[in-house]
Amino acid sequence: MMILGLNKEDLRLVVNTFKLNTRDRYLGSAIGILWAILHPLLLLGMYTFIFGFVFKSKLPGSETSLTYVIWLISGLAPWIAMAEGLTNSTNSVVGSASLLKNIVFKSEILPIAASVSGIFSMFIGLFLLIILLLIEGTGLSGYLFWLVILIPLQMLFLIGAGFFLSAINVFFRDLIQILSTALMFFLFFTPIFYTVAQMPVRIQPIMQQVTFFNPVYQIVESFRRALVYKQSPDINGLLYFTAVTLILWLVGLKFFRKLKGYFESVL
Amino acid sequence: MDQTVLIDVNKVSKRYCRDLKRSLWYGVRDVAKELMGQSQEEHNLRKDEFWGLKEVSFRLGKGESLGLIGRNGAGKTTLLKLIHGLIKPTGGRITVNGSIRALIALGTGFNPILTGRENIRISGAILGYTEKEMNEKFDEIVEFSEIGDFIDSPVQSYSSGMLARLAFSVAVHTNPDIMLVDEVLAVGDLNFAIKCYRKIVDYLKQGGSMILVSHNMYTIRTNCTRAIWLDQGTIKTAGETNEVCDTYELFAARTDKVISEQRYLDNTIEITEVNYPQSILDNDSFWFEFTIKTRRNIKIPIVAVSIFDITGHNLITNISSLDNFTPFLKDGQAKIRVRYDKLYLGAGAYHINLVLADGHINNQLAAFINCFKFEVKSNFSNFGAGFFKLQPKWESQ
Amino acid sequence: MLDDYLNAIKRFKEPVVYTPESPILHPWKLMTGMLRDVGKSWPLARRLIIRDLTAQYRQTIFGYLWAIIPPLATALIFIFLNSAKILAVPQTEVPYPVYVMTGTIFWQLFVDALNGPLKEINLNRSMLTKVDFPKEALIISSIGQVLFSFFIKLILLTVILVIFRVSVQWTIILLIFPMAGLLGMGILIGVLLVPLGVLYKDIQQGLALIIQPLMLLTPVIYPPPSEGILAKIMNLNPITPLILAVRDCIFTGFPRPLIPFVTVCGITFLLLFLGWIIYRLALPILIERMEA
Repeated sequence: MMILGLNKEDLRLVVNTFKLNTRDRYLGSAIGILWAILHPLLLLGMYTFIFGFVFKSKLPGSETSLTYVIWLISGLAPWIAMAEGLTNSTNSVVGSASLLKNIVFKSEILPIAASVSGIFSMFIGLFLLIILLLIEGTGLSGYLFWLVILIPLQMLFLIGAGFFLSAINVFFRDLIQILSTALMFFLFFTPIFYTVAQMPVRIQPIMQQVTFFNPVYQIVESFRRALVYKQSPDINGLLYFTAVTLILWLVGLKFFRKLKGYFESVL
Repeated sequence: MDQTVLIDVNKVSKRYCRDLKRSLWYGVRDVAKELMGQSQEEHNLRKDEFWGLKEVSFRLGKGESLGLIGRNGAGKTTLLKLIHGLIKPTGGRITVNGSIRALIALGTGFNPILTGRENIRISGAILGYTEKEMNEKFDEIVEFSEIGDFIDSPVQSYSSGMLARLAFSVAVHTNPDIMLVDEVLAVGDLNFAIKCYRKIVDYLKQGGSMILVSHNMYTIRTNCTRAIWLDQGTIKTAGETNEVCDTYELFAARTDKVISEQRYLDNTIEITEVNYPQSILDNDSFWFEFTIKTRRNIKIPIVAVSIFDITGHNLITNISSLDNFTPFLKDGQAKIRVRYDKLYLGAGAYHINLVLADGHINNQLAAFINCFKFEVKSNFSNFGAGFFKLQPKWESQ
Repeated sequence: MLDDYLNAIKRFKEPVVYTPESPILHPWKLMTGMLRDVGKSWPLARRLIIRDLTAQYRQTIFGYLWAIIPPLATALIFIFLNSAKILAVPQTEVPYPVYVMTGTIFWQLFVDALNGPLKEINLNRSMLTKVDFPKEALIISSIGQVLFSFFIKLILLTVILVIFRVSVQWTIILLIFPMAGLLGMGILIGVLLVPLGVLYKDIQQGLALIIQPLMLLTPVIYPPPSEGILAKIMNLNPITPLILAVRDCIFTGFPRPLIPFVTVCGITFLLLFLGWIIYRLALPILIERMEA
């Protein structure tokens, strides 16, 4: 059965590639698999420390740092998955150059397997979040189940973007730099460390418009609503996000397929 | 120190670790030891370690070319790296008197995006050419590589043969006191390979010294004055090239795990009671006999006996029909024997293939591939590398 | 004539001996060896720099512009955040964009220098494991590339200074000191991380992780506050005096306070020599355990 040109055999290959990538990442490291857990925790810890304690940021209308920290982590966790997924998928084709040159297989597999690589870190972050929620006392709610839709949706978004990024990177190697700069831009530009409400009143209307169209904001906000606010995500926002994902897939896949014939000559 | 001894390897040992994680950890500890002034000398093995080299000693004199042979993993590359100063020995000492260049890997430092020209400069700098030397030899290098117009194209677009030619061309124009060559002579097409050999011969003629590592026995025999056989980190034997090579070849042939095959067309045929001398001297006669048992009515039995050397070259083939011989089967049985008064083969290990066919050699009824091994010994060590030991008549007027 | 003489000298070169001993036991030999290798390194380092910069230029859209984009982008983000008053930065002696730009450009110098050694070694792994060459060449090549990229950034800085019509003090010529300090400290830490970083991939990953938060703990985008936890941290941060000195040299005069600045520079250069020794001693042992 073929969906979009991929069949069950390809799916198996995706899973294998994913496993191989993961194994490779932690192969040469001292603490090995422990790093997979430590890495996201360190990242979260660092930003929590800086914004939570050094800057003593707080949410408007709340007294404790803990609330802020929970709110922050609920946004950072999906962010980490995004950053890792996009970075890894950009490098996915170039990184497997020798494989491509010697074995025949559907190269679409590479960005697909790479885009999903951030999922471990995200789960670690979510796990931490759940613990904190239980400590704080607000606990979890049924809205948690929105994650069942949100997480796959986010992964699909990343895969779609991955098709573009991995293909372009083959020809323009500085894409990875552009990406890292863009990611940093989005990290600070998107209301992850601060809320839209904390922005100066003057620009709030404009910012609200702009952030609506920021897919990163949409997914982060959806996670937050489900986990922290205990609400349903904004349906309009989700629909927009889904639309973007679909477009990325349709155009991205076609783009990738068109270019993949030229990979070999450049790699 | 004696000026004619260029390399003195004295009881050199080297430890390695099998397990990756442990190896990395040992690396950290060894670095710490080094920084605290402690010697790396050790006589014991830590967990998961083995001796890559154990108490190896030899010397290389001026103008000598030494061949290093042995199986993969015997320690040859390790030895070269130690001599080159790339890694430190765990025991012993190495003294080097003169400049060394290593042709251990071709194309180091190449960047595929850059052109051939640019990569020549890089590779040259890495291999130790000074700017002046590089400028002087640049055109020579380009010409020798036979790359032609592609020299200004990115190396990415080169075929692997072109890449090898370019890399080798840069490497072979250095003029050190000592050259270390590791398995890199098998490059390019035949024309180029011949050019490379010639260049190496010139180098040796001009007084250069060389250590050559290769699996190609012919290369070793023709280019080296002495040889060392290394196995599992120790020297098994050292001395005159042909002797060492012969010993190694016999060893390799005996532990040869090449699959031998036995095929019958169907169960109507059987070949049994195979007999032949397992070991002969080089001027002895040789014979091979076997018995055919068959229920089949073979119209025109044809027997083919072929003798191969250890690398699989077919040296001698005799087909009974071409020799005007037809085996006679009585009641479907016959004992066949082929005899050579003189085999004319030089010392070495050989094996025999046997084929039984009907009417035409391709109509095979039975085939025995690589099943029968024998060796030829010699009372004299060969002076030249020759497969055959012919005895011509000499005369002078 | 000269060639014959040089060749003759080559002939009488002392034989090289390789033993399991640690070179530290012969400090004089070690030091002469180090100096000699630096000399030998230059031609190779030059080729490596040319190679890496040329390659970088050829396969990218923006080529050498890459030198300025990271610091520029960071600056723009914070300029935006500041002007939107999401981030409230106290008044600075020069217009905020200029303040931020000087900060990010010199911070990037530090970061590039920090990542340099390990990056260069990883790039040239196959070379290291197969050929013997003076290893100092890799560090020199790394410094060269960092400086090249830095000078492009300086052009950007000059443009910014002109646009905002900021007046500079004569002490701008002293800029060479904090610049060398930042470069030196980056290289120092980078080189010290080499032994572990070459063997264990975690180090590089961990490094990348720490850099961004570290920037927030250094007076790069905002001046050090006078009290609070952040003030304490910034005071302890050794990079702080260097960054502050940069701004002082350009805008206000002598770096003030002078003593922390001089101390940091002094210690850095002292430790650099130590770092060089460690690098030199550790590499042969690392090479045998490195995967090509």
